[in-house]
Amino acid sequence: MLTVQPGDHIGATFLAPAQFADATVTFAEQALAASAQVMVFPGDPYRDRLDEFRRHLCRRSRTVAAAVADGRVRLADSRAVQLAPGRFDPDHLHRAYAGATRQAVADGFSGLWVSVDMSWAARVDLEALVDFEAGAAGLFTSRELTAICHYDSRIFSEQQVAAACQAHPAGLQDRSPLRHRRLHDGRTLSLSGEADLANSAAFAALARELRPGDTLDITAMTFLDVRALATIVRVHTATAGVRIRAGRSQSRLLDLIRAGGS
Amino acid sequence: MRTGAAASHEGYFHETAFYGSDQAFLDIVVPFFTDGLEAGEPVVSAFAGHNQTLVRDKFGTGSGIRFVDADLQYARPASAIRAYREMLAGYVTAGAGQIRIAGDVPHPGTGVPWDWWARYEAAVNRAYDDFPLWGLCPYDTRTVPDHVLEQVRSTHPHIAVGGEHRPNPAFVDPETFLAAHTPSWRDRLEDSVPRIELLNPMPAQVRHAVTDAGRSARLSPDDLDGLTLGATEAVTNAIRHGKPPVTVRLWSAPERIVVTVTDAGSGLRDPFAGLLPTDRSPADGGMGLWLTHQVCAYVTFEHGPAGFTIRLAAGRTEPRG
Repeated sequence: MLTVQPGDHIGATFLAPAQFADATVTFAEQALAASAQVMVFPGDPYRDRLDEFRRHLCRRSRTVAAAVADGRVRLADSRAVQLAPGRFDPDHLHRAYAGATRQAVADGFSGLWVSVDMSWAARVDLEALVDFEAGAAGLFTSRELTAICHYDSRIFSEQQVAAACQAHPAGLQDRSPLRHRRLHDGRTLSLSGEADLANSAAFAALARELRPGDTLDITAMTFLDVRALATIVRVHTATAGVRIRAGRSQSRLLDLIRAGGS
Repeated sequence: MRTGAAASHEGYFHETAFYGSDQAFLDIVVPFFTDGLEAGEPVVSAFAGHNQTLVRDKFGTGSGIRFVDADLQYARPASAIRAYREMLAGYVTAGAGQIRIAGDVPHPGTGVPWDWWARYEAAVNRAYDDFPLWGLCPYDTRTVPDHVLEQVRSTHPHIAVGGEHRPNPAFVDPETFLAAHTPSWRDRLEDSVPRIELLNPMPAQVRHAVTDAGRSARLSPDDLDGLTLGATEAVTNAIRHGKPPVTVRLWSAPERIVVTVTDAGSGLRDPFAGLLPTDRSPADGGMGLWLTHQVCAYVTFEHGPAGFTIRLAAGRTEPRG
């Protein structure tokens, strides 16, 4: 089971609203322990009955109830936030999350933790949604935004859930989620955790962020599958001046892939 | 320029021979190497233990023969192919008109399972065909099991008998051989209840199962890492390209771990899967299988009524069948 850390972007799935509520309470308690603000976006039927869902959360946790009372935990309607432009608009979403995060920090919180039922995106083109989720890494780099995106298995097909979760670096069951940080030099992207099928799109999107002169440091990663290794080889070949910092056994595998791909 | 029996041949001249004594072995190998040395060709001796000593004693030092450690060269089929292709490319770049290599391909008589070496012997007919290579694979009839001899006959287009080099009428086209090839090897551990059985797992669950089993097994870190990577790739391929359900079973013993990954699909279409670098994009499944063959101690494929199974092992596998 994942211990959430600031900056995590988590993909999750649920079968009933109670599961979403339980996962949200656990997430919110960790957020509050980290002195963060929490925003919760329930799905149907609770988008029109936010008070009822608020009571559900408060019944589950005294800590959350106290935080609801003083505004540290807030509930909102995704139609008024994520879908404010009346359609799926990745730029709007990016601005909305970045703006809300800045506001939370300005209000004295360590950051903003968001728990969102993704049913608002049920009609969004899956590829566009996956691109947005996978490409959102920059929002999380400062570790002031932390988010868990819940996909309802009754609304999204198994394939849709799988594709969406692959766009998230972390999953709720992860022991070693993929985490990234930019070092102070601004040129080093340092990764930790594991990269495999479960977060393949998120990993590929992170690798695509590399620019000439950047260094990708994977020495702290505990596992990379062949697809992730091949992605690194491809970025290294395609982007001039990108340096790879890897451990001995990682370098051996990267060399093998170069040999096999030639 | 090509010389000897391969003089008018293009590409790989792949030949086998059978012997039943040290003298018979030398009668096959010594003229093969001597002719190559006299023609100024690169000559490589990749025999194991006793045979390598026989060759060394016969030719002495300074003969010009390059001695390669068979235990390293023939650790795994896919890595043997990679290493030989690199070596051959180097010789051709340096101007060699023909290269002669003779070596001991491992088999149950030398203490290892045969199945993936059968695939190797078939696949190299394509893998080395870019090079002016004369490869001689002598097999010891005193130790090689009958079913291995039969497959050796099926995978070598040429055969040396009594000093003559003949076309081998029993040779089977490698694509046909590989498509029909069914592994006879299963680990003895598989006769018992698996330590773990997972239904439709994600790759991380399988890795954790391998890691947990590795704690109580005496395996080198490289061996365990190889199995971890191989099991991840097998499950990933089953999820991405196979058909559910995907079942993963794991058995462990003090010195080895065996993992099978079965899906209900029809399996691999590429007969050379895992042995040759893939032509496809490195991100495709073919690269995963190839890398698995580079780092795993043993890999077999099985197409059966239950679907397609990849069997992976870490540690010392036993030559059974």
